[in-house]
Amino acid sequence: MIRRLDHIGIVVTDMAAALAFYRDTLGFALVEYRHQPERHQDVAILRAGAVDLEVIHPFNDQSAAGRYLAKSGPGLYHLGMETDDVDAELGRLEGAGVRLIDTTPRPGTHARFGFVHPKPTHGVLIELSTPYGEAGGGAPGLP
Amino acid sequence: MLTKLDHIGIAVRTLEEALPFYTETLGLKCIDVRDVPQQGVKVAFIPIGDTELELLEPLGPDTPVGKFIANQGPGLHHICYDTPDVAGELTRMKECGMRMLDEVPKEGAVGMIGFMHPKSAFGVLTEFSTRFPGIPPSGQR
Repeated sequence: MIRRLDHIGIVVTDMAAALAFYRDTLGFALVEYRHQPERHQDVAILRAGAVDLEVIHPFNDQSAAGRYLAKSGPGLYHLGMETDDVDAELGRLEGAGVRLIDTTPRPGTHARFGFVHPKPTHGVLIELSTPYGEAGGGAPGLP
Repeated sequence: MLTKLDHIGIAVRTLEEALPFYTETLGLKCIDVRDVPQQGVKVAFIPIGDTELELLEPLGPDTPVGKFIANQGPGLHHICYDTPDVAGELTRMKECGMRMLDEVPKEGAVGMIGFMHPKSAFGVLTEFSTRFPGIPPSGQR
């Protein structure tokens, strides 16, 4: 079951300028900054009520977000929805014939997550995740 | 001051074709569908946690959402932030040098609204909204 919208992904070409806008002009709190060279990106998390803005600055086109940025330019990238059990949810969708990017979850910073293909969602890249420590969330480092 | 993410607008070709994915497949609930002729859209409201998805079906090809879909296909269209004072927020943004599509609020589906040009927000069409009295915050209706 999907219980909430966790975050919105936004791809940018200039992180300093994006932070000046989202933090300083719009006034949202910067709660986390991740330098992720292994994923070819920096990520800033800003809190907009109960939903986070995940501002992603890809360094190159080695990642899906980087390829999206190269093709479509900066802007809205994906919706991150939180579910009780990401394995079960991906399995349920696959069983319903929904095209997935990940049929099994990948380990993330705070949660295990998997992407649904934008075709069946009518153009929206949707990420499903379950935080570590919950029944369907596993633990960091575990496959 | 911006209080929260009010909603996310998703451009779809038709609600008839897109809504079943969000309701039947994802299991979310649609609480209202209505025409908003002043914005050229038919809107389906779908609460998700503390916010809402708004699926936007264009009422014609010459509407803003109709042109968006013709240009780049269906998908994420805009994000909207809630504020207690949309008029003040639009003025403040303009004074910050932002390019505004609306310098004064106009009437939306559930509140007074105004848009900022995506050029000033890193490619994101950004809306500000103050809900009408009696309309609960997003995610609470």
